[in-house]
Amino acid sequence: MEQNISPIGLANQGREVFWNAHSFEPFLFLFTAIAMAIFAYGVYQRWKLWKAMGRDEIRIDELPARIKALIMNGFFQVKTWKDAYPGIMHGCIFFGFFVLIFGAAFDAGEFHITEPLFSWAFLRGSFYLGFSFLMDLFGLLVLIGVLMAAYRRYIQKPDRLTYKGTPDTTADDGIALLLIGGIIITGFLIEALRIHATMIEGIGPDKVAPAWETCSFVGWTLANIMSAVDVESAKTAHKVMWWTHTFIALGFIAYIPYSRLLHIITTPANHFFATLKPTGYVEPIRDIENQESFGVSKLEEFTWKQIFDSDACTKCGRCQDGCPAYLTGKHLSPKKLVQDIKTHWLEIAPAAIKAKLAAVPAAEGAEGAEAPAPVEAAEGAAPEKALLGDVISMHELWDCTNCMYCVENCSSSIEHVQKVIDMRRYKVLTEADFAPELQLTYRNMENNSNPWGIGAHLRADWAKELGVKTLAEDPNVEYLFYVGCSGSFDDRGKKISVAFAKILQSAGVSFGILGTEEGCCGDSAMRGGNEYLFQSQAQANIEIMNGYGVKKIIAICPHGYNCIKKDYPNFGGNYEVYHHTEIIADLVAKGKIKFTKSQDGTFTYHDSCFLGRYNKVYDQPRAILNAIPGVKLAEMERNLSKSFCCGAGGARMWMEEEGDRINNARTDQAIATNAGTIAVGCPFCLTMLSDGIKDKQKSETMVALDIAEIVVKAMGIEEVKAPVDTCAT
Amino acid sequence: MAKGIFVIAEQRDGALRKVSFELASAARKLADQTSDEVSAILLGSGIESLAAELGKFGVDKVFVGDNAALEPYVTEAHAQVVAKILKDNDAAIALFGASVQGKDLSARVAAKLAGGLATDCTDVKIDGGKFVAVRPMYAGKVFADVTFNTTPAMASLRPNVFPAVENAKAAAVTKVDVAIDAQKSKILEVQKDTSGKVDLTEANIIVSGGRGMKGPDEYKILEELADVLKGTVGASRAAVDAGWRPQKDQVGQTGKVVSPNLYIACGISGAIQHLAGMSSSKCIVAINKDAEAPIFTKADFGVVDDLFKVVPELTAACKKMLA
Amino acid sequence: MNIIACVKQVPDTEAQIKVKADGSGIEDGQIKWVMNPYDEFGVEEALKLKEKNGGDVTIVSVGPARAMETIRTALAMGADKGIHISDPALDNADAFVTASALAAAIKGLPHDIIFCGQRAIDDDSGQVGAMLAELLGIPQLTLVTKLDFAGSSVKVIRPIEGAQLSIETSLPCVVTAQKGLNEPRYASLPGIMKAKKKPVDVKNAAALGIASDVKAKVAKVVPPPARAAGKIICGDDAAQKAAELARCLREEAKAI
Repeated sequence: MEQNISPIGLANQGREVFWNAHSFEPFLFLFTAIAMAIFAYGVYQRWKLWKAMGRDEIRIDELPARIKALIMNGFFQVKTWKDAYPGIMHGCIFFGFFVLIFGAAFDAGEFHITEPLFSWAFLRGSFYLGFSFLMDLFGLLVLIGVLMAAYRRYIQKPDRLTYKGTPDTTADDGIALLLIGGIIITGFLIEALRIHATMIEGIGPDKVAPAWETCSFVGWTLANIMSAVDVESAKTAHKVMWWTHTFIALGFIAYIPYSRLLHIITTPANHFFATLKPTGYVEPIRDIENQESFGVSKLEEFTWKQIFDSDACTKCGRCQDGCPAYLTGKHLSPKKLVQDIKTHWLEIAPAAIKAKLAAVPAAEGAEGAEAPAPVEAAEGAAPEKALLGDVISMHELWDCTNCMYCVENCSSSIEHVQKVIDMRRYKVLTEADFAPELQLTYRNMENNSNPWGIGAHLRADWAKELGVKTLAEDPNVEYLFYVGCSGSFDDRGKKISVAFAKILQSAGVSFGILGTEEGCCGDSAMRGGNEYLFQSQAQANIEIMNGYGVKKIIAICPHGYNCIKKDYPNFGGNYEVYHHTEIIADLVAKGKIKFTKSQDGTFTYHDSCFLGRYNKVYDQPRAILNAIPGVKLAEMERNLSKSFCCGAGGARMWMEEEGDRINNARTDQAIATNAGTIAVGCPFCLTMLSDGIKDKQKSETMVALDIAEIVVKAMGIEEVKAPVDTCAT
Repeated sequence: MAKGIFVIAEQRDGALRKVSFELASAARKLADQTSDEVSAILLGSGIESLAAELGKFGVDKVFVGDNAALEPYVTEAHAQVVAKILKDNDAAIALFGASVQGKDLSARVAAKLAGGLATDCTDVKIDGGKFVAVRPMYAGKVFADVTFNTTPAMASLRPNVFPAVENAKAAAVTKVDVAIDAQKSKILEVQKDTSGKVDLTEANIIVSGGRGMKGPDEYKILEELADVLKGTVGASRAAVDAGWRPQKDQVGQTGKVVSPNLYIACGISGAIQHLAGMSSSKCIVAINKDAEAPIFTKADFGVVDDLFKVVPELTAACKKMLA
Repeated sequence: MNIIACVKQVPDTEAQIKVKADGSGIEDGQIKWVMNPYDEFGVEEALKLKEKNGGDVTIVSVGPARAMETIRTALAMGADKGIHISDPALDNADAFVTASALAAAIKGLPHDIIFCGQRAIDDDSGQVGAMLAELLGIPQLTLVTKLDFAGSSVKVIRPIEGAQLSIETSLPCVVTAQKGLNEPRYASLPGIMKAKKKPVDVKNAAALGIASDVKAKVAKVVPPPARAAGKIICGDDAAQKAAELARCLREEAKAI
């Protein structure tokens, strides 16, 4: 067989496959088959669990986009790299392993396929040298990655690998690292022992010691260390090590489906299945009038993908690292939420499978079919935990601000927020069991179409003296300025509306408002689980907007901006939607806004969740600030996609907060920049940060302003209000 | 034709309540316009001596129903007697106090007589020979003139609105003896407020403090003012969050929604969440050193000054005034 | 247990109340109509009693066609059935006519306890509960903030000026609900859906055999005197300002 192939020798660099281990080959096949069988069985069992529960949901449409997500996030690990240490750590292990597996595949391919069939041995010569060098290099990278992981998990112990200080670490984490590390270390030892032995014995017909083994630089280095070992001992040690390596590697394969290593399959799959909807899109309850139950109260009411999410979770804790609820000592941790769902799923899925099996023969009436498994037996066990209350506490459910940090930063493409909304829907719609202050907010929205319950007829009062026309007065305008509730009713918010209207007027932009025909956007209702109320608000607004043929909308509140842009299309509202900072940035760029008054001082910009993470509007507000003379921009440590929530999203604006307040935490971060002004682009954030400044007793030195307010000042068109009569005479 | 203006006097624990004199004075004024007579109905046990006091405020006649069954006040017994007196004397007008007791009684009496009643009136007058009652509706957003198609025309008058004016008359006593039906209701217990503090939602006067109070101990000055005004102390969310005041004291969107006659906001900037909880107060006073505070836009009276100076002075001034 | 809860549809507290040009009433075109908040306390208490002791809750309302929404709201909260007394002749009903209509409808029904709001926030009258009790010849407990049901009687707490009364009354009786009695529930969506199918009897004045002529007539309505702009109290120092404020509160606002 081998006669056609030139033997490995001095001039023909290469490695003898199964060197010192020829007789092991059949056993290797046997053990490999066993390992693969164990692996396949495990995956099959898991497959059954994945199929056991959950509603249908289509996640295999738009294949090109999905494959792209798989390649970018699954292979290139784009999301993982965003955190340096864990990114490098995982990259070392993943890419190292990937290359090593390719290497093994090359070896096997040559030995079992190309050599015997085509008499073609390609791992020869300089290709072999490069190959061997790469193998050692990537092996070393894996080892570095494993050591980084071990250091992080067992010595550094960052908070995100815990839940409030209690480590998540289980034996599984250690075993996985030991297996990976073991494969690499034993691999290097095998290589070293082989090099050592062949250096003494020589290779090929000429029995020469191959000097080019230096390419396998790790093995070579180790071989030099063991120079005192005699050939026979080395060969014996090599055999032992060969088997050790084999068993660890095969054990690794067999272990995958039963351990956290399963994420090698589930996480890329989850990237493939990840939503292709815009960030923060909320799947509505369709045909709500004809449903009988609403939202999710039992695990099986989630979609299969929502459950599968939990099996893709690697407990990496990226979500927890920036969760405003978790970081201010609330009960919620997105990681724990997902892990708790996983645990619950693994507890109840087997019974669900049994119940399905029992149902099938009964339905078919098949003769000789196994008697249906007594359902009572499953139920007779410990009483099933309730998803809401037992698995996920009401605290956790309502702690969430929908800030999207977890979703945006999850390296496994898990969709936490929709789950939270689905569960809230059950509490609100089906059970009507939720915080009294939120009930009041909803009643207010029902009766006056704003969360404060201020008379709906007062909605346009802010514009009274500005000469702003309503669409009823003049529908032939380019933009609808959708003011929203804060801008219409909150005295603080009204100042933003006034400022922005003045900017538009001054820049000659054609716009109008809906006046008292405008209604609440419904975002707080939707995110607080009151889908019914949200849909009625959305439909009312859409009817009015479509009635006027509205095409372009500007919103000063990112909550309205986001839901009109992403959620209104579900109900027939399709518009081009802009945030006012996008419009202002454009006007500045086009030179239609001139800054005449220097605004000397340090500003820090707070990225609102619904503007930043939700809509990726990061640059425009900064561009505006940078264009204003005198403005020195200082960034907070948590900014852009890792910005920290103000605490008002997800209907939390209307709820009492326990313990440390999120807005105060964010204010502290702003204070740390020594800025005199916190610039924001959201009236909710403005309220929260203004409160934070007061709470932190910083009113003398710090102020929170909307970008539009800062722009108006810099333009020199700020309304100079006569001070309240303080008895001058 | 029906004749005579009747006032239904209100007494508790053997003392006439202030509203009784207000009713007598208002009736006197009407009677003087129509040359009519003012009668009072005084019910209770051992209360005959109170009749003379009513005389001081212009009552010509007093119908005294002295009966153990009429003490303490039980709706059905009082209604039975009042209705009988009004009917037997063919009264033209009957005035009640719009107190808790007066409102309870007047409606029952009106139903017994199948007559018309105007509640919580802020003015009563004779217009073109006809009795007209003026009363707020829609929480004061509208005022209505109410006329009557039946006699007696009945109205309950809002306490503290009509002045009690001395105008001595005979107050001749007529004793009324009515066999009172067995009562289905029984008063088990009268629990008097010893603290003198009413729950926020029921308080007529609320003295509220916010972030400007600076700390829990500083609330003492608000408590002192509240004591003088017989009011209750409230707080904004900021103060409750800071742990200065208990949750039950919180006024606002997420706390209690209140509508007292007088709301004194001290060191409260007037965030919308707070305004939503107190903007229906009838009179709002803001004391804040920040002239720009939004609370001033909602206030009937504003004092731009340091609350720690103003409040103690206000307490002293009110004390003097109410002494 | 047979429980009745009377409800009225009223303009939302925040609604803009505009007086008609001729002063005959208010313009009701733009108004958002809601269940009278005090009636909501009554409905909630009725539902609580039902949940604890069994029985059913009947909602009775006098009002134009739109009042049906309010009845449905109460049904959505969990009441079982409704009676809608709707008749154009009753559009300007005073408290007595309203109470007569309610009494006529309720007389024909078994009733152990009847709830009303202590007043409606539109006319602010606060008469109907007591009148209804009189017309049915049963005792009344007005302004109740706490209620305990004890088989054939109820024990309630009723705050009066400066005191709290604890009163016991035999059934049947009328209870008028005051704020503090409970926190009305938010209707669940299945509740809202089910409410659409619950039975509501619509009756007119003739069917009830009642007269619609009012005893007290709202002859004219006017807007309140324009609210003076807030007044900033002047003075040289805090003491002067405080004294002036006290004077204003006493003499102008009559608040103390």
